Amino acid sequence: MKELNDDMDQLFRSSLDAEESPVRENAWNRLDHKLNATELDLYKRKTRIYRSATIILGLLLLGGGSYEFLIPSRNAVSENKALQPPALAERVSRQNEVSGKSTGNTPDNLNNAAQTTNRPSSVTNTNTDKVFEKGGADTRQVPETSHPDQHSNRITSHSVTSIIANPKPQTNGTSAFPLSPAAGAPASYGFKTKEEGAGNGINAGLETEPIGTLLEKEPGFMLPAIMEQNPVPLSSDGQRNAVAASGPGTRLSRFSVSLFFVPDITGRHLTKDHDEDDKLNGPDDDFDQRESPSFSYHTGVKVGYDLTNRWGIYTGLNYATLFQGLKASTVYATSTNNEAPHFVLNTSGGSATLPNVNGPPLPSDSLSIGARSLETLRFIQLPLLIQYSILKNNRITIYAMGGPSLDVLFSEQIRVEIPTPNGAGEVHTITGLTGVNHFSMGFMAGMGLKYDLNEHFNLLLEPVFKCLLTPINNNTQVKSYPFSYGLSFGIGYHF
Amino acid sequence: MNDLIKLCSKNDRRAQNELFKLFSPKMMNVCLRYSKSREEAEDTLVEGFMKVFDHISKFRKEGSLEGWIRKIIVNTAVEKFRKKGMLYATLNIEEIKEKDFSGPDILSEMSADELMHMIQALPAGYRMVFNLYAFEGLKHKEIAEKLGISEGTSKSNLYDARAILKKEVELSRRQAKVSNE
Repeated sequence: MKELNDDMDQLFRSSLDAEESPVRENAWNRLDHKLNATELDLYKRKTRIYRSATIILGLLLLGGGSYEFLIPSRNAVSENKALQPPALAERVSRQNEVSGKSTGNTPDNLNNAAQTTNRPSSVTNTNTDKVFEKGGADTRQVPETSHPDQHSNRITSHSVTSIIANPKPQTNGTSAFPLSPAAGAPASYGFKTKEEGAGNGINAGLETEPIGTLLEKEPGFMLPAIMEQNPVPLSSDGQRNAVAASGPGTRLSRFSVSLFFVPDITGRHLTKDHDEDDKLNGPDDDFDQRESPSFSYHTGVKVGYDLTNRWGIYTGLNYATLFQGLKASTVYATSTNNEAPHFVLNTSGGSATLPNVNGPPLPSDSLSIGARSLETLRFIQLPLLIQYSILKNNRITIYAMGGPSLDVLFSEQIRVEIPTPNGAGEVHTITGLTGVNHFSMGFMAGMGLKYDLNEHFNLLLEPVFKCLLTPINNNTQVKSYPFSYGLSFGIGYHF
Repeated sequence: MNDLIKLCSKNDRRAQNELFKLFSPKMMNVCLRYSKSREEAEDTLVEGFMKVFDHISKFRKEGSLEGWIRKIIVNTAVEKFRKKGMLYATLNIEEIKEKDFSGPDILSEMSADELMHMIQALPAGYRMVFNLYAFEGLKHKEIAEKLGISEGTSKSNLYDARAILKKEVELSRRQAKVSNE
């Protein structure tokens, strides 16, 4: 019985295993349709991921900025308790005793000097406190005297911005505080001062003198400054503090310029007119099946003008691309106005008349275009953006921006693969599509992070959303409103 | 073939079409054996080739491409069967006595189409087990794991499937005899 079974299995196997069964053409069409749908799904999934990443990045920028903004003041409060100015004076005195030198500036003197201004509390103010930094400078902030025009923060009087403990002994002048560098103590203390109109406190108009020398020369010199208002915000970085002390407002110009590059993930919103012709021509989801928007990019230059400390206005010139893959599809020969029939490829971004590679077609002849076809639209964009700085820290600024843009379509082309009788495909590039609008209105919005590298240069990171408010095409089966999500990388220069 | 695989993995539709044309007739035959109808077989074929194109970049060229595709198609058929649920018909199979069955000789006289129809006419569960055992060469343990049934069920299904096939073959032989007379 077993042998009989095995024989039967074997005979079934030998009779059927090597057989082939014809497959209907319909099977490939179904498969092709499914593959297209899968590709579209994949693209949509990528779009969703990119969009989510952009939103998350935006939120992180906001959260990170808030954190940066809030934490330094917490540090300042805690460090304030650790070292009050009397303690500073005591330490200076103690170290003077150790070094065997006397300057006459005892802790009492210092305190008395402060008391003569009736503002001893200003010395112990949070913002006059000390910040220790690993390997950095020991900086004590004191308020600076500012011009009443606070929004520009231009320094119009001789002002003290901070007391710096330099790691190296001062060589200019007589050191009244010959602090011992031993035990990690700073070598000496000095003033950071700014002269009128000098701009940034670090690079221009900043002088550092031993504190003792200054007090000897002008015992009351520091005190009016200390009495003034507007303490400079602290950070955990002495150097950054100095930048903050100078502040963005100390820049001489309100103009800035930036260069940027934005990889975009694109899509388009399609609408159709609900007249009979369009219904006959087919639904707009046909275009969704036949076209696949792909990754594009835009790049350009942006010029900004600071209206106030927080508000700015920006414009510029962008070069933007919009790529759209065209899947394999069949086009039919049509004839208009008694002209010879020709193949017309309709896309959501315009129509292209295809060359007659295989000779003049007859009406209703069909042509299968290959899957490696691509439509490319190139724009020049002129945006006008309003920017608002949500958070400003020492080096970091987080802002939101938005505004209209004029989009000028200056080049449109379709690269299409047309099969030839020998089975190969010829690639043709067709320029000048019909049914496109060369001028469209768009809208851009986004959030950004600006990181100051130094006084002038900064890095920019901006998640940007861009869309057209008017369609890019006209007199076509559907109206197409392209949009894109991008992450802008840029470098800026503040004059 | 390597170029074709490369192009397919890049989603080149022309290459995919070529690969489909090359292997689909053989795979359709496989699908037909696992299906009740041509439509069902075509569904399996399309679904199977979707998976083929999706994973073709992972093909390691250790075996033949045909064998790899076939494995995917068979797995697709099994998956479809499992999704539908276990449809094991309880058939009242008449005992086919050994002496009634004319033996394998008669099979060689039958056309491939006739044999295919016999397999397709089997209840889904029996068809699965018979195909996996007789054509794919799997053991009962492997079949049981693949279909999520017990080894005993696999054995009894195979036994029943063979019984039905024998009966069909015998019936076919008798009809042929009558028509000859």
